[in-house]
Amino acid sequence: MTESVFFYLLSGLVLSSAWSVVRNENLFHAGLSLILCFVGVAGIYMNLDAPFLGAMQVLIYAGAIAVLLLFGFMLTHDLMKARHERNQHLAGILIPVLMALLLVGTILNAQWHASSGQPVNFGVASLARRYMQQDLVAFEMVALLLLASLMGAVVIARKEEGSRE
Amino acid sequence: MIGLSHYLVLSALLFCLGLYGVLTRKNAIGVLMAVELMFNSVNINLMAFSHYMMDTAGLAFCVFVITVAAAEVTVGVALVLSVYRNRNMIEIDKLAELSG
Repeated sequence: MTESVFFYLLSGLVLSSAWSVVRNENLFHAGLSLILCFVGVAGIYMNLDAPFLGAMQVLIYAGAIAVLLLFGFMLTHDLMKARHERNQHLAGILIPVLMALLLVGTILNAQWHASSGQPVNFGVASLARRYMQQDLVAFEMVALLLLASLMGAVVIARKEEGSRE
Repeated sequence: MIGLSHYLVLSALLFCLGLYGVLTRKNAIGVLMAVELMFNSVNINLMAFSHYMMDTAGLAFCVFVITVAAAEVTVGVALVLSVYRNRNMIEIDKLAELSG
């Protein structure tokens, strides 16, 4: 019972803040709504018995990614010549609406069978066991990807030699 | 009673909102924000399947997706800053030199 109440409350929070993210004229307010949306998604994870993932969601998404995006917005924002209008062509509205109809129709028509397996624990211990046994190669590759993207971001964002005014 | 399809519908709606943002935003940072919404909808999907199939594979994938999203947004913001330094604006509909 409480699960359904929490689910509907969090869904309302997530969808309304996501609507604000894509529609708000002020991009800074859109970024603040993005943080609210991430916290709502963290609540959804808690509802799905994954507290570790919820904590990671708050730390990485709401804490790091949203703040990085807000910094990027503030560094590139020109108050004098800010243009807030959107592309208003038909495809931008038609494609998402058609896709939503298709996806929701498919989901509601499909037969979802309940799993007969044993309930599993989504805690840190089972995740760590999985990463150190089955998914070890993928785990190391993600570490490599993080290093590569860190170096790539530094190289892309720095000033080129000789272009200083 | 909340079933798998409730979470899947939530995820589908969130994905389509993110798609709408990607298609209609003019500011590159706004597009990155909408892409993050789409990442989140995929994560909800993975975690819902993981919960209802009683398997930790979806949880493991979720953490990978969060990591890749962090890497993506780092490089994305670096690109946006680089474009802003060269062109003094980040409106993506005007960055069309390569389109012939």
